[in-house]
Amino acid sequence: MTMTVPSDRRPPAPAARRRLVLRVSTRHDVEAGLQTTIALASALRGELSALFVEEEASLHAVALPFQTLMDFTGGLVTLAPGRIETAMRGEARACRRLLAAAAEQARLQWSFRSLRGDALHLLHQEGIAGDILVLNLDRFGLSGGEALARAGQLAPPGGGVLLLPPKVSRKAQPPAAQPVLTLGQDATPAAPLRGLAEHLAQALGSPLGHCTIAGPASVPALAGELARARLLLMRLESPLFDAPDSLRQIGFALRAPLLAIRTDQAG
Amino acid sequence: MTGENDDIREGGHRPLDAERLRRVTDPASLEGIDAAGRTAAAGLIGQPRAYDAIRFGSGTRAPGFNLFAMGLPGTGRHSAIRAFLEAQAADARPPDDWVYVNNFDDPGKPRAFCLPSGAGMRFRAAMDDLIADLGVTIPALFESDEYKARRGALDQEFEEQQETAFAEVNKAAQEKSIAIMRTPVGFAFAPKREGEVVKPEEFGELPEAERDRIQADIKALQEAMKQVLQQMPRLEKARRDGIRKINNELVGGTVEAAIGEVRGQFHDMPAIQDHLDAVARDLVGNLKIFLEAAATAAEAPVPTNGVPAEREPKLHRYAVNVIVGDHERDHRPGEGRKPGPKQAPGEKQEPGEQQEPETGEGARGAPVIWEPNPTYGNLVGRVEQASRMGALTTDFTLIRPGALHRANGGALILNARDLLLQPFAWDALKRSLRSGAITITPLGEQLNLLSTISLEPDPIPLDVKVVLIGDRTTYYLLLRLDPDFPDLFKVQADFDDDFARSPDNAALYATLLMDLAAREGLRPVDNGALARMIDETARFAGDSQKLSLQVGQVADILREADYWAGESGRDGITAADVARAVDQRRHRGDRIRLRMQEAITRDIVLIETDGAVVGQVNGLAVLQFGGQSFGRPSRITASARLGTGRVIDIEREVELGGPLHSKGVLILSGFLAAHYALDVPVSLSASLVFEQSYGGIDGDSASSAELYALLSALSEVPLDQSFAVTGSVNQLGQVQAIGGVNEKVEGFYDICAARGLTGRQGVLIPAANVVHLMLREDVVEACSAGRFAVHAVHSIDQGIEILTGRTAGSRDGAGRFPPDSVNGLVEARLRSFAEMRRGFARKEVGEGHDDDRPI
Repeated sequence: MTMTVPSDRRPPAPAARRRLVLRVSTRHDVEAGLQTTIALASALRGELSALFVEEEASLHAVALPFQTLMDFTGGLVTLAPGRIETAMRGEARACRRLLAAAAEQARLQWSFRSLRGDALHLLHQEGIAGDILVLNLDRFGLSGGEALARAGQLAPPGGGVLLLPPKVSRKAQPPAAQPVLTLGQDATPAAPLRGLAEHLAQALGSPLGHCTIAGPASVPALAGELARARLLLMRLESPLFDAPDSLRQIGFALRAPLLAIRTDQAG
Repeated sequence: MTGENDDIREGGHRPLDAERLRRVTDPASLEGIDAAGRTAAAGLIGQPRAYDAIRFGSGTRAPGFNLFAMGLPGTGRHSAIRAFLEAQAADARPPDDWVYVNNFDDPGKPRAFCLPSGAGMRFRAAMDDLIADLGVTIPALFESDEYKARRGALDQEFEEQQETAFAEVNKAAQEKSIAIMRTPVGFAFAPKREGEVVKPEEFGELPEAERDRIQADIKALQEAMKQVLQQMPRLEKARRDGIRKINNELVGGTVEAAIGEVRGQFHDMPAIQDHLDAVARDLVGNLKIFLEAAATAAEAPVPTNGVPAEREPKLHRYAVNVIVGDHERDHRPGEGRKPGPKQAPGEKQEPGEQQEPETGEGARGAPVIWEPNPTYGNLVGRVEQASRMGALTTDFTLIRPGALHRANGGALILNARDLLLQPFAWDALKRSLRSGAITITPLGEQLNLLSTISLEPDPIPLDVKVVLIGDRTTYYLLLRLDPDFPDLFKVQADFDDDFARSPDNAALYATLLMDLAAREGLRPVDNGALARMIDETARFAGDSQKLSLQVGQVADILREADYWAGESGRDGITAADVARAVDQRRHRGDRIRLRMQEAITRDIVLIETDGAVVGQVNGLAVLQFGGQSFGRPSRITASARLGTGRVIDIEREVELGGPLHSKGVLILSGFLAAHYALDVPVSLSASLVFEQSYGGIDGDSASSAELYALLSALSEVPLDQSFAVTGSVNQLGQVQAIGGVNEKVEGFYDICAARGLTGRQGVLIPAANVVHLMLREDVVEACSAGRFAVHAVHSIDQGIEILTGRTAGSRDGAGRFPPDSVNGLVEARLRSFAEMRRGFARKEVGEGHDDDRPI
């Protein structure tokens, strides 16, 4: 299902407009990532596309003969047949409402689709050139390091992946004093990344900074700084993405949204 | 009785001299009056008994010795009482202040405590300053690097605990190739193969041992997950405790230091010290209020300095509501409740917003409060409610004082009628006086009409002198019908309606009028005007030897005279202005009188003012319309024939006659029986009627006129229609005093004057009413010129002689009246009736009837 705001209520999107594609499976995902995603979409003058995924894995899991679910307070729940599908459809409607309200308040174009399948696979399929795919990380899915490692595979040409760590979900919108930080092995960010970072910092009203990641061992010392950032930026072309240990350390320290982006075509 | 009627007794029947028709004050007698010197006494002139009662009632503090001041309206009860009480209160100790503060243990029951006079406003200001300061200081503390570092460390520790707990479950799940997935209804657990969740059909193909293992692993993981999830609330609580501890350590010192300054200002007031302890405890536990307020202030379009308590509803909890303080008592005479400087009349005060302190004359001495609108709420106070987000809420800052609060420690003046007309107000006053405390219970709550949140404020001890002002009817009704009343209002101050017209009192009255003119900015009053005013005052009293104490009426005449003086271009008020004021006042209310007079002069209502008629006389009645009263003649006729001794009062027969009128007519029967033909039964059937009277008649002032008509009918001697008659009569034939003598004389005079005075016309009045004569000047002038006359009579015999021109007649030694006298003719007629009746009785007995029923 795809919906867009009627054209008489919104000006037509410019051709170069970026899309932020948000994968959601529960309203928790929407609540967790929406503020950051909208802030970034506004800064990039982009639009928002939500992809509600009825996770096949979840459907398989609940179809197992012995399966019981555990609710969020630790109680065991036995599902009646068809209950999970009903719940997912209800969740999709709730997600759509939340997304629509937030996007319209921010005057962003938005669309919403509901699909069934593997979330990462569908997200990868959905992405087109220039898109930024938004991944909410939860405690039991991909770790930060794993997600960073997969970012290069997922990011479409000229696009990127925005990783939202679980911590982001509990915080209100960060104050403007928190910086936009670029990460890289060099002492200064590469020019394309710097241009994007400057643009985002200005749009978000945040100061701009850079962290040099000399190697995996240097990351723990930078953890506090990384945690206080409003947004982290990395080039997918960075040699760091060829250094799994460094990525694992960065993922472990990830407390702020991180945008891994292809700068070879990024403006 | 003086010798004023000696001429009548001597048979001369001379009318009263002009000087006895209106007692005139000589302006020269008012020379040398010092208004300033007597002004102080003028407030309670002629009221020594009431003055003593007020002094006694206000002086004794024993319970129940409240005052009821009764008397006619306009006798100066209110102003006199108020002036007396204020003078007395000026030297009294100012009462304590009373404040309401939040009860942090039970906000529904605000605490009240008393403070020395003036301390309430200082305490409120100190608390406002404290909260404003903390509104800046506390948010700043939370922005400090120190706080952020400690708070960040705590949050991180909490998050790491969470992460560690979940990570252990996650690690165990990965080791056992179990996927944990978040679904809309909870966490799902499933085995994984090569990174993918095993489908149900694949799971069914697994060896049974493998399936059992997977199930056991999942069960173990679920148990571990359950442990983690169930410890989350505990971790969260630990985090909150940790935050509270940091807050206490960081902010506690600052709060205590700030509160310490307030403590120092009120170190000798234990109630404030206790309250500040509670404030300190509450502040540290509710720091987020300040942070939210600061955030709100930061978003405000206009920058604010600090966080004023009134802007943030949650900070009201630390405010001080001065329910009784200096500003509450600053009242001017007649103002009643006074809105605060920030508050226009009728405008509602916002929660937490309080009046600014005022200082002034009202701050000194004990309060004397006049509440002109004694509703339940205005009397005992109220708990107002404010609309927030569509819901009605309240707190202790919305407690409003009543008149009892403001008068506490002093005196409260209320109009009894106004009080009794207000639902539940009288009961509330009695309850407060009985219990010695003011308890604010919202009326809606008391009647179970409202279910909104309300408060149960601490009662406030009451020590007040209540003065009710009312009329005598109200006083005696309360005395008879309300058993609580005598216990609660033990002192009556009975204001006289009038006082003696002595030279001293006249002078005193003159000073009162001069003082009034000075106070109200009227033109100066000359002695002629003062003298004329005093004459009018006697007219108001309806007595030439009294002065009315209904000062309000008299003052109105003076005010009107001032207007007419201005109209005439005079700088001062003269006797002519007073006379014009009186005339104009009469003229304004004269329409009905003139219409009635017109009906008579056009012979629509039949009144003879000349000639002589048997059995017909002009009676006089007084009609009152609003503030105007005037006399109106009425034709009274009588007829007589043989009968069984009944005098029929036609008014009574048709139920138009009141009981007093009927009594007067029955007295006539007694007079006839006692006066004539004592040796034979009265065999008379007479009827009396007020001709062309279509409304109710009461009073016995026409009984002498009725008797004259009856005697004329019996004697067949015509009565002179040039006269009108008033006066009641007793069984002995004595004419007794009546009311409204001036209006009655003037009423007949006006008819005669309209038709043309003949010189024979006049009015017969009871001799006892001569002292009441204060006739209009035009009537007096006519009498003086011999064109009209007022005759004072003591007895029916005197009156009948004037009306018939015949001798009334006295019994001789043989007990017989002279045959040609009126009495002789009456007795002869009655004997003839008796003889005729006897003849009828013999005939009826012979025919077997027995119908002889002597009276």
